[in-house]
Amino acid sequence: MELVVEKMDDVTVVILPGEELDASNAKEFKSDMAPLLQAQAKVVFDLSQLRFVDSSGLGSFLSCLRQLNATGGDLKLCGMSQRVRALFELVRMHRIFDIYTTRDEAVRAFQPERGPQE
Amino acid sequence: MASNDTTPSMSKAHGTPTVTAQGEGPKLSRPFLLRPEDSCACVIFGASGDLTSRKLIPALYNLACQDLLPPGFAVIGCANTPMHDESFRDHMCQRVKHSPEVLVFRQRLWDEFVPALHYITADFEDPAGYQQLGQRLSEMDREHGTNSNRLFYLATSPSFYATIAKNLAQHGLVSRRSGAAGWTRIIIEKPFGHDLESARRLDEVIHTVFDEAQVYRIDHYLGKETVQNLLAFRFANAIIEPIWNRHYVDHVQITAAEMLGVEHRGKYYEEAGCLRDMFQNHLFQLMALVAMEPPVRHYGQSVRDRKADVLRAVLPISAKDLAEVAVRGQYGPGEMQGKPVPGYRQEPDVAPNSSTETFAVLKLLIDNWRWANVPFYLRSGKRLPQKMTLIAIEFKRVPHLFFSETPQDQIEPNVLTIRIQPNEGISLQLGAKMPGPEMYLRQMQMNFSYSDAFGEFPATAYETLLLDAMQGDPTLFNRSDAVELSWQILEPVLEAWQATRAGTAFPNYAAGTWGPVRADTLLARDGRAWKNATTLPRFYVTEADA
Repeated sequence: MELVVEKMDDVTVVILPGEELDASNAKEFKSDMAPLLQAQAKVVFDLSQLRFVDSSGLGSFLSCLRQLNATGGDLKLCGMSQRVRALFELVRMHRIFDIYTTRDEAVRAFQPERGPQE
Repeated sequence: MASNDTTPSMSKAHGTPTVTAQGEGPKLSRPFLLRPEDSCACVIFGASGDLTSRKLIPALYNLACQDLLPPGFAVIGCANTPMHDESFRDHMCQRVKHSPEVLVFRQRLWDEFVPALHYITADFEDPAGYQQLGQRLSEMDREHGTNSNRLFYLATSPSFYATIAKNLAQHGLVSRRSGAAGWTRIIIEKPFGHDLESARRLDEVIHTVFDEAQVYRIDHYLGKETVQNLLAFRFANAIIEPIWNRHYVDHVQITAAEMLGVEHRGKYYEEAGCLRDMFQNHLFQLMALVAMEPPVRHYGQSVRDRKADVLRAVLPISAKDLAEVAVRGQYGPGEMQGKPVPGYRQEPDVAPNSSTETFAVLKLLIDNWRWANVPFYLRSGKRLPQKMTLIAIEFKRVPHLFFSETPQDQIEPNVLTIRIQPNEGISLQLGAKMPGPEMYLRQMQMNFSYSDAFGEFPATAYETLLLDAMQGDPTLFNRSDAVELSWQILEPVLEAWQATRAGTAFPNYAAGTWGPVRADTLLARDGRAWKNATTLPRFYVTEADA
C-alpha cells in the first residue's frame, strides 16, 4: 500500500491512498504503518479519499491508536466522508477517536490548548 | 412465576444494520449493540478483588467508550477492604490504564465515566453494610437517575453467595417484580456450588429471594465472540446442518489447555480441581452448543432449552466404566518454554500429597437421535505445552479411495477445527492433490481467521454479558436446570475420585507435556488420537500465549 506521508510541524499526516479499507488490505495497512508509528508520536490520518471501511479497517485504526497510545502518542482522524462517519458511528467508534473535519484542524488540535472539535 | 422479567427490555440487543450509499461499494453488515433503555445501578460485591479491576471495570469502561451504558448508570463497589469513592476510582484508573482488554485508554472518556464509580466498605455478614448500601442506592437514584433498577453482581468467594442474597432480601433491596418499583437482577459468578448437593442448596436459598428469571449465572466463556459464533456457524450456514450428525461425524474433541500452573490459586484449586474448574461450566457449555438442536429464536429461553436438552441426554457415567471413560492427572516438575517449573504439589498452598487433579479427560455419549454412538472427548489441563481452547470435529473417512499412488492410511479424514482462543477462527482440513504429474494427495487447511476478517477488537467478553444482563436477556447465562444437570453428569466421577485418592499415582505427567499416557490410550483404544500441536497446523504458537 503506497501511503502518502506529509509532515506539518511535528505532526505526521498519513493520507490513505485507496477508496476502500477492508479485509483485503487492512492487514497490509497495519503492517505498513507499524514502523511509522514507532517513530512518530503525533499522527493524523487523512481519510478524504476513503469511501468505505469495514470492521477490519476500523480494527486497524484502533490498533494504530492503541500502539500510539501505549507510547504516549496520539492519533487524530480527518476528512471523513459522511458515509465513513456513519460507519464509525454505527460500530460506536466515533467517541474513541478524535475526529476533525479538515487536516489543518486535526494538526492544530495537537497544540495543548485545543481539544477535539466533535 | 411472579416476575414478568422474562423478556428483553428491547427486541434484542444485537441487530444487523446495513448501511449503504447508493451504488457505493460493498455494504457493511456487522452485528452491533444497542444501548440499554433502562437506567440501573450495578452493585459489585467483592469490588476490591481481581475480577473487578481486571475484567468488570474495564468492560464497563469499554461500554462507556462506545456509549453503550444506560442513560442513568452508577456502580457501587462493595467489599471489606477500606476504600472510599476517590481511592476506588484511582485504583480502577490505574488498572484500566494498563489493561490489555480496554479498547484504548482515553483520559476524556475516563473522566466522563468515572463519576459513576462509587464504593462502600462493608462486611458481607454485617447488616450495617446493607443499610449503608440501601442509602447509597437511593442516592444513586437521585444523583444518577438509576430509577430503582438494581443489578447485583456477586464477584466474591462463593461462600458469601447465600449470605449476600439473604441480606439483600432482609434489607428490602430486592424487588421480585419489575415495574414502578424498579427491577432487580443478580449475576452470580462461577462456581455455582461445589457438587450437586451444594448447587441445589444454593439454588434453594437464591430462589427464596429471586425468581429464576432474575438470576444470571455467568460463565464468561459464553460471552466470547468465538463461542457465540458457534451458533452462527451452525445455524446460519445451510451446508453445515446436514452433516452435523452421527451419519457424518466420527467424533468430537473439546480441549481447553492451559500453559499456566495453579499460580496463586492453590487454596481454591485444592478444593476445586480440574473437573469442577473447567468441565462443569466451560467444557459442558461448549459441548452443549456443539450438540444442541436448532433453537426457535436467539433470545429468551429457546437457546437455553436446547442446551439443557443436550446435558439431559448425556449417558450417565457408571462407576464400573470409569477407567474406560475418565482419566485424571496431576502435573509434576517439568519444563515450560525451556525453563524449569515446579510440580503441582510444590506450588504454594498445595498439600505435598495432594490428590487434586490438574488434568482430566471425559468420554461422553449423548444419547439422542442426532448423536447416538458419537463420542465427545473432553479434555482440560494445566501446564500443557500450548494454550488453546478448541473444538475439533472429525468426520468419517471416505468409503472408498481410488488414488492408488497415495496409501489409504495417508488420507486423513476431514477435521473441522474451531479455535475458541487464541488465534480465533475456524479451519477445515481437506485432502488435496499435490502439484505434479502423479496423483499424490496431502492434507491442506482452509482457514478463517477472526482478526484477518474482522480486525482486532479487544474485549473482555464481559461487555456482552453485562449488557445482556442490563437488558434482561438471559440467553448467554446458565439456567438452574443446566447447572444441576452438569453436576449430575460429574457426580459419579467426583465421588469415585474422592473415594480413591491418587496417592503415589500422582504426579503422572511432567509439566510441559500433554498429560498422562492414559489420556492418549483412552483415545487410541477407540482408534483415535488427540489433536495436539503435532496434528494441528501452524495456528498455535507456544510463545507469548502463556
